[in-house]
Amino acid sequence: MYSIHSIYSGRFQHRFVLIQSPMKILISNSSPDPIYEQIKNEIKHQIVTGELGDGEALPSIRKLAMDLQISVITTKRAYDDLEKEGLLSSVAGKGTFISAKNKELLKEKKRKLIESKLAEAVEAAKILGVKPKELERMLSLLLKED
Amino acid sequence: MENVIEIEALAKEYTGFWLKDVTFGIPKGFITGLVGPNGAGKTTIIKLIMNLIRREGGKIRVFGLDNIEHDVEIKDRIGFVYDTPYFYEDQDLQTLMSTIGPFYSKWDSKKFSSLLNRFGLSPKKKFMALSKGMKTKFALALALSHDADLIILDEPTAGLDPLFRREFLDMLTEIIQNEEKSVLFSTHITSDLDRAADYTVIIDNGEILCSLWKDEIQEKWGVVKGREDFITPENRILFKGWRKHPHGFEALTSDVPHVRQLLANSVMIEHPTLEDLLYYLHAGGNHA
Amino acid sequence: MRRLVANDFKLNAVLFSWLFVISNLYYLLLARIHMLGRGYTPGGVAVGIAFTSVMVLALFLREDQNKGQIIYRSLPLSHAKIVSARYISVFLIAMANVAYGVSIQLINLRLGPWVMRYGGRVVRDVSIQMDAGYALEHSLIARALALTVVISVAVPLIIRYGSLWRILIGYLVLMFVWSIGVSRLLRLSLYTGFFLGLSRWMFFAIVSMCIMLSISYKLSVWLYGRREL
Repeated sequence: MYSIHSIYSGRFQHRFVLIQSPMKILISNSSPDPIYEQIKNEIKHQIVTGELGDGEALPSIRKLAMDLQISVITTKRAYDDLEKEGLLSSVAGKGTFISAKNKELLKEKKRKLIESKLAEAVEAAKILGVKPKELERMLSLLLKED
Repeated sequence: MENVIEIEALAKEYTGFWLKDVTFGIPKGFITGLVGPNGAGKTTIIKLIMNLIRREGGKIRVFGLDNIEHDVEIKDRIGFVYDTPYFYEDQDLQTLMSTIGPFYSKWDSKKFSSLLNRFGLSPKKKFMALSKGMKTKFALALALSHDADLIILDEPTAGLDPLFRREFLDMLTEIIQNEEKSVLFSTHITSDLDRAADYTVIIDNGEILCSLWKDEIQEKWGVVKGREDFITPENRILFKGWRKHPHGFEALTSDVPHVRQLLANSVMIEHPTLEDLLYYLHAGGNHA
Repeated sequence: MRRLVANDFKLNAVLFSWLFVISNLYYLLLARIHMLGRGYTPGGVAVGIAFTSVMVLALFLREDQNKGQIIYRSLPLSHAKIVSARYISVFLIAMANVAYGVSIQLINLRLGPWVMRYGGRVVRDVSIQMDAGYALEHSLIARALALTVVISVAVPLIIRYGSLWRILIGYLVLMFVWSIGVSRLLRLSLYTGFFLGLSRWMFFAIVSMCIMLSISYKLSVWLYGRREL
């Protein structure tokens, strides 16, 4: 199952490409966000979209750091922060796993994600001069395709 | 966080240069960079750790042991790579290995052979026939073949081509996949440490300017750029160094969130490289 | 320690071979070399010592050139081990060269006429006496003592002062001492009597050799520790 997402946010464009398990992460050196923030966001995003399921194993901080060619401090910070937010749990000797303890929180996050995407579409339509009726038609067409 | 090396109030004097009251720790399980311009004291510190020169004050503890009292014990667990290859030039690699390796209690000649293989070095080759990069690889192979808990490198990448430098840094990362191993890497080539270092100690003119974790640098430090001089007596405390140039004004801050709060839209804030840190922290921090 | 000693020979094999060949040529071509000092002319042992001094000097200097000590000091080796290995290497080189010198002298004796050119003082049969008027063991002991003095003073000197000129001057002084010293010691040996069947001289010699070497060794280890790389 592959998906291609494109999120338009301000001046910076993040592109996620070909996400499939095992977890793949893309980071940008020119983004204003610190790298550990980017990693956190990517993992959160993948949890919300369901690509990372509950109980799924994540690579160790050191392995991830080596693969991404970044410092282990960065991956450690990302994992630590996510653990504090209740999205990861690390078991001594076994590794780190996704912990979808806060199902409600996740659902809420999913909804928020859709909302924000829709908001962006509305914003883009305004800028480009696409009328609301036109936008609604586009949406129903897309929904019908599924 | 456990420290593999503890340095306390270290002092050493040469004519025209002295190390003043140097105190810092090297954390276990990470790649630590020791950065500074030439002549800052990096090699002196490493020589003091390895007990190649005598200290005039302070303490050095490696693996929790005093480095002079337990000199032999400690060195058995250290692999070293110095910038100038100090091996007999006319000997072949196999002979050189046999004159050095067996002194380590955990010497593994099979591992050494496979590393040489991996690096593309033939044991029959004479040392003087090797390029600088290959000489460094040889020294690294020696350092990695006795299960060392600490690898100390003094300017190992000077004179290496960028391609091999990357490979070299990746190898260091491989070492610390085992969190009981640590790496200390001293260099003036800051770009190497931008990539590889987890913890960085910045030294200049015999003094430690600061020591930072990678995430601190990413999160709290920044180069603030603006069109006008934005430093006021109130916010001066946030900045560590500045530079005025014909087209604007730049300053280094150690407190990005605060600066963002105060100056928001009038400035641009960028992630600093180690070179930036070195530049702005150097010599008191002001550059006209 | 065995390995350290072996390293010294392994790494300098070519150098030693060349020096050996050159030294031989030197003595063959300039057959009559009178060392400084009166009333003493070099025998096989002295020749061996001269060869030794050249090789030992080269050993230390080459190591300085290659900064080999930085490697050793970075390895898990104590100063004591490094220094003792060096003393052993020096003694081995000395023994090998002295043995060579003496055997050459024996061969010369067989060839008769060579003796005149080689020594000056004619020694018919080295197994009877090396120096006329002295018992063989007295000659040997005097030389061994002189050699010990030379080594005891030379090694710490080299360790302390790494530069070429200082070492050369030190060595010249020591060769001078050697040539005078042997005859002085020989004369000293005449004034000892016998004690419990053992020659008091031999006893004195062995004890002073041990004392000299241990002081020298301790001094060397201390100097080595103070040396900055």
